[in-house]
Amino acid sequence: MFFNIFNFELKYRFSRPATYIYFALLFLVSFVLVGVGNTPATEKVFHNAPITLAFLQLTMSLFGIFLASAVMGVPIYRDLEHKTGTFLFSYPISKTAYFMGRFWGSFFILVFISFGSIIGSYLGSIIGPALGWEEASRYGPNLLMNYLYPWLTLTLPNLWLAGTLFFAVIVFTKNIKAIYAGGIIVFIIYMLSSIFSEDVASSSIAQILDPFGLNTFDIQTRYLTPYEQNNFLLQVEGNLLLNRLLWFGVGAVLFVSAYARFNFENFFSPKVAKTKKEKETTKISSIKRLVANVSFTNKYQWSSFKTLAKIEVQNVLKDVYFKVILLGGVIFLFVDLWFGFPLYGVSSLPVTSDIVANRGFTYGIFVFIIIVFFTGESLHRDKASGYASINDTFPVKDSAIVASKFAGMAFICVLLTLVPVFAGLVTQTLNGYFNYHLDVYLIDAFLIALPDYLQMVMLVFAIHLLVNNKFAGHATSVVVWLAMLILRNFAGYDFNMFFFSYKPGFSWSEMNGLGHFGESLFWFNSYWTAFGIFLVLFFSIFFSRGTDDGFKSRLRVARGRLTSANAKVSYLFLIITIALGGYIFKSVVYDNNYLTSDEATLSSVSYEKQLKQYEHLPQPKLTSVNMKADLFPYDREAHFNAEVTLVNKTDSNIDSLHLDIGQLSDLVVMFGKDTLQYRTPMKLAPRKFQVFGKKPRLGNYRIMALPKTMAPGDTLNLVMNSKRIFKGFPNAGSGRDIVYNGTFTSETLPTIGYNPQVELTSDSERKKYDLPAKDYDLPAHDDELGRRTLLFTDDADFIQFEATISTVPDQIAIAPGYLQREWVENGRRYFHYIQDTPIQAFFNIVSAKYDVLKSEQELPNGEKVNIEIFYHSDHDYNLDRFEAAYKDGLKYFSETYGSFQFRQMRLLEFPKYASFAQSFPNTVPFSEGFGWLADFDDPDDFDYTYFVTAHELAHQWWGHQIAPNYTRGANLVSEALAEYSALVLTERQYGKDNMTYFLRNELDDYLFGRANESKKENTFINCNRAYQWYNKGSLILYGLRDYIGEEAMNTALRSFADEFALKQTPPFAGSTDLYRHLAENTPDSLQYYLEDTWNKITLYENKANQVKAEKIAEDEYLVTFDINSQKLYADSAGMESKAEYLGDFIDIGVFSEDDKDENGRTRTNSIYLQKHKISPGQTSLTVRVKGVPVRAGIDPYNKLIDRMPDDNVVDVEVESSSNKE
Amino acid sequence: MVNDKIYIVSYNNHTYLLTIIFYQPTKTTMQLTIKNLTKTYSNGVCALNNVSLTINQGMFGLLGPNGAGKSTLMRTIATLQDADSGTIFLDDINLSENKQAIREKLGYLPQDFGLYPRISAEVMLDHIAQMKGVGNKSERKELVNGLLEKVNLYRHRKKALGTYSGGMRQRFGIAQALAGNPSLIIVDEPTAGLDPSERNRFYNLLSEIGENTIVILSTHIVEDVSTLCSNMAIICAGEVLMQGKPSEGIQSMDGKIYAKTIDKVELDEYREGHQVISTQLKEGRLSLRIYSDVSPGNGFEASKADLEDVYFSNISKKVDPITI
Repeated sequence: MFFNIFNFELKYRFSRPATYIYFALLFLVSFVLVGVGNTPATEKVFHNAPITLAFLQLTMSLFGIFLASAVMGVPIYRDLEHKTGTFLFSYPISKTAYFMGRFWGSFFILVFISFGSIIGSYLGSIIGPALGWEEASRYGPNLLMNYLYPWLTLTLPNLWLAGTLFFAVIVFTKNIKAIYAGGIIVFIIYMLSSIFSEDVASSSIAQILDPFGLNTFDIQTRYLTPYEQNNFLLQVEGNLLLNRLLWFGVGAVLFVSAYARFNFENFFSPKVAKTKKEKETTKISSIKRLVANVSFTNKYQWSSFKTLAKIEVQNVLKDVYFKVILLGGVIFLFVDLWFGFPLYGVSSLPVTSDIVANRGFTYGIFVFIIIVFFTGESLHRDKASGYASINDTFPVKDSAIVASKFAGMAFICVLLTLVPVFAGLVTQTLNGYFNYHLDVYLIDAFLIALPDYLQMVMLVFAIHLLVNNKFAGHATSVVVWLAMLILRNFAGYDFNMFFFSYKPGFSWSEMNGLGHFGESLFWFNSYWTAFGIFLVLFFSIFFSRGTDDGFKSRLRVARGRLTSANAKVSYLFLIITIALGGYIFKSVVYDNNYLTSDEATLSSVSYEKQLKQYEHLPQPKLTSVNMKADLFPYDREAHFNAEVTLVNKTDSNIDSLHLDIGQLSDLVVMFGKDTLQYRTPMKLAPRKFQVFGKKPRLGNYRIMALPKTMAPGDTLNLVMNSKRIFKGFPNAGSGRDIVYNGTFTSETLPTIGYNPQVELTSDSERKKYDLPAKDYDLPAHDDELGRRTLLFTDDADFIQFEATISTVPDQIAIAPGYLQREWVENGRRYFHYIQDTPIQAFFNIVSAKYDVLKSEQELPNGEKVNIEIFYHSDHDYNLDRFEAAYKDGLKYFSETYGSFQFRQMRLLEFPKYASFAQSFPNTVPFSEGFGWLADFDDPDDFDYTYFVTAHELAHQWWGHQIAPNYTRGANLVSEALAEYSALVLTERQYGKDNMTYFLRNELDDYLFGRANESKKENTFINCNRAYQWYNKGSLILYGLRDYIGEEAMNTALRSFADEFALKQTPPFAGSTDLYRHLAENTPDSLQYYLEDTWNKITLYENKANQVKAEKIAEDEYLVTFDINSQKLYADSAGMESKAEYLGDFIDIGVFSEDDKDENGRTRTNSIYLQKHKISPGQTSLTVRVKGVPVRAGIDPYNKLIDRMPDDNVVDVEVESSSNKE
Repeated sequence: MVNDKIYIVSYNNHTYLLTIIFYQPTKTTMQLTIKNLTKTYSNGVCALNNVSLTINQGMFGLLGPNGAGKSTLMRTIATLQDADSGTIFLDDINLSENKQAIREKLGYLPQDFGLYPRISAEVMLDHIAQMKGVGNKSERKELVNGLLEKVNLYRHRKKALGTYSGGMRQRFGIAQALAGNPSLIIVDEPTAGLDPSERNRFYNLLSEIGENTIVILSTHIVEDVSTLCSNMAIICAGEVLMQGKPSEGIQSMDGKIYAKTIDKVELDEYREGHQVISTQLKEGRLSLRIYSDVSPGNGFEASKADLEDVYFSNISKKVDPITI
């Protein structure tokens, strides 16, 4: 009997086109992604690598969950819906046969469908390279196991969970809509686990909690290097195993309980409404008017519209699915608002601009779901419910019906925009933050969110009017958005005017409000709203009323309405749309030079191909700059007039000057009264989007004839006049350099000569354009030219700098140097700065409305340094932390690394359009979003405000005093040392334990960075990536200090500084110079560590298997370790091999219970911490400690690079002394 | 122009005295004229074939078997769909050109309909009354309560319509059809799903209204028509087979109906020689009714004609009336 039903189910399903459509969908998507190489694999990872395929399978299994709802939700619901179920009573079918037959039959179909993805990706990996859609070298060997294994371990369990869930939901509720609810619950669990996964500390919870295993997979494969991604199958063990077992178990429970619950009588008998005994009413009123005055004047249409809209809103608000989805959205809204996006685990104060920025993330998804589905529901409600046959006979006009449906949804949109406002106010209030910016809330709600939502409604509305079938309408709407998403994210199209409702990105700032983004939002919102209105009005000609809704009759009716008043108004809106579009097009394409992503790539290619010949051309260097800058922040314009001195420091004659003007406009170079003539060697094809006046574009590279040839040693004085103008608005980008309040730009002069940074770096892209592969970015360590050239800018060595800046009267303008004079002239405010000691040609200009905190720090040599902190008036929360970092750092760094070269040190806040701080000579712009608003309420928080300030201050030594040269790895002189110095300073202030979290983050960033390496991982001494010079740098230098001791470390750094500090003539410092000083101060026994960390890529696998303790006396224990250790060397692709060595020095530690120190910070209490020489493999050792051991292990502070840092320490098993007695 | 009338309404063996205040439309007579209406669906089914009918004020019964085209005709009059050809006039208003004007006068109870499941009866009916032109809020409230009471739903007015049983829903349907001041009421199979007492109640309600309005009642239950309607038409396979007063129909058959009880096996013999209009099983034997101008003898006895005979003799021209 089971087989009859099973077979029937299969036959039925295989006769339905849907089965094949689902299969084809998975097949096609996988085929295309793998075939054209649009997988997440980085360049050194194959598109068919086991990890890539596993990720693909996992993603497809998410689609599979939607499919599961369609496949597993209906088999028994079908019998309920068609009332065939009642017949089943009369047949000799057992419950088991029916239930199992239907379930397994459907599940078999689901499994069949899931093979679409496997077959698709397999064929993609064969046909893609064969037809040249993607390089053959991007595909590795095609092993069957690579496909089947992830399917078995990831896809199948997901399908099982989804299948049992949806099947059980139907059994329990008998309501097909409950599937939505089931889906949403799973989705919510998934989102929760995603939130946990963002913090390294809670990642274990995330790994187990994620029903789809997506976060689990993400975390488990996070550190796999390209080599490993190409070669390893992800083993199901540890958290992944737990996860799979848990969710398989949940599926099993659902399956069993559904089976137990199911029986024919209950399931198929109609729902009996609770019958309350109706009481006989004795009261029947004797007189009733059944006749009322009716009127059908124009007022009737208006009041009908109102009542229709009102009942529409009630229909939505009373819908339980609306409530459920909205509730889900609100929960996530609160999560997003409450936690925000913490940096180093520290949340920010809930300022309004952050609240409105965070409202969109998850809540936006829920809003999208609500709008897409309820707009469709609304338009089809009357037909679907059968009420249309009544409603359509009312004397209300079609337009009033259509308008009322739209108005109903518009009202829902207003509610949806108000929810985040209330959630935001509640969040702020509960956090004790009362500085509400209601204006920001309202502008964001009504001028940004609401137009977004309304536009969404408009498109969906038009689609449903046209399609006139609920499910087809839903599907079409989703497909339209999916298509836009795919085109933007995978096909590289980004021209906002062509993507419905898309606008240039924007960002709120506390300093600058909505700033210049308001303009583009206004135009784009007008454009899309006009277009949306056109869509709704125009497609309402397809509105069908009555029972006759065949396609032909609708088309006939629609044709008749082409000239109706509605249609005419729609044409008007189309014209408005086109007019607005024209204005936007002009601004984006003409004023802001829009380039497609292909064109941008081509620009780089042309730059390299046409100009590479000039790369090593001798050019003069700047020796002095006297900058006069006039800033017009409210016009977003700056005018520059720079008197510069150039010197020929080469040994050949120079007759022309090569300048790249970058974003500057109107560059005029004057020699005395003469204007230098130039030519533009680089030519580019006309812009694709240029419609009128197509002509080839000229590059920004100019070659100027010098007034006379410069012989070696010759000097030349020139004046450079230029402007920086932001006009209109671009397609994307923040244009943050010059803004109303918070200007910060360092692009004021043209750059000299060819700039290799412009070249394409991706080797596969380079190959596409016939460019040779690019291995290293910089020259070798001993390269003559490289050692003579500075890293930050090759336009100068050291220069004299002076600046006079004018700005609007309510702002303060700042540039490096000491303020000489400040005055007001012609309604403008002037500042004159002179830097009286030489600096690199690395300066900036800042202008904003500021409050200033002034302070002073005396250095060990008795000199005084003025400290100035320029901040936005509300942002005084963490001023003491910035100040303390400056004060502590000035003292400690000058004592340890040599004297400070300036008499002042400044910190300047700038709007959070970017999240970084940057160190210019005695001047540090520091982003609003990077610590000014951090909320350090937990004493254990990592004070990244202090740390980053210390880092930027350290750059005054490492970077400005000791200027790195232009050779491989030289950037570590600047970044790794700044990171290390800041770490030391922060440790002095906050203690060792407080560094643990930060170091774990550094380790995570390093390991994650190398896993995503797209070329090859360099050794540290040749470092060329941020994850190396920041993250690995701080780990290994901090480690080195631990090995050789602080004194030796400081001696090494001091002697390195002494060799290079303020050295204005080449050779400049490179990574080998630092290495030399470190090696000199490292004892022979530890040279291996230096070698391992700098010249090799070294990883450890340290693990504590078990630690036991035995009490030998009062408060004395014998602790026995069972540990494993192995050192590994990795090659540049990430392939590891075991190192051969006798033993390395590694910490062995025993800890008693943690407690709190006097500052309330958590304190770990080591009762034993010694370096032991640990040989590779398994080791047992015993130590004797005083105090109760609680935790113990190998390398407990994670000083060594280890991919599983968590297993280094275990709880100590204390053997009870009673055993012995 | 308000005219008080007194009705006696019987309900569940109780008798109540009801006073109903009626608004007299200014125009006292109306006429619906249907001419040559034809409708063929895209699947080839000819639902209406050259239908012409003239319907005056009062109750008009539209009788026909399932699938005869009744609902198509009703929906066409209710402006829900267009005919392929032919015209419908309400007095001088051409329906296809001025649906709006028809809709303003219309009260319609479709055969199949649904309601918003989450809205309460009270709110829904208030909404519908507004849609039917009752603009005054307090007047509307009174009307809604009155109607709900009339159809015996007043107690359930706060309940969401989704919780209503089939009968309650049908009663709500009746209430909404009567809301406002319809002068053209179309009720399609209105008694489906009603128990006998509710049916009586509904008949009474209809007959109260029928005097000043056109009420078109479509049904396949002969009894509905014979109790209520002053005029009727029989329609089958899209064609009008008979039109007139029920009494005239019966009169035309009087003396021409003969009945006989036979064995089932004999049926075919009788079909050869007689115009059989209906058969009915009675205690295992067949009661046969035939139409004949003269007495057929052979054991047939003259029988008094009723509306059912009229119905069956008409539709037997189109479909085989024998149900065995």
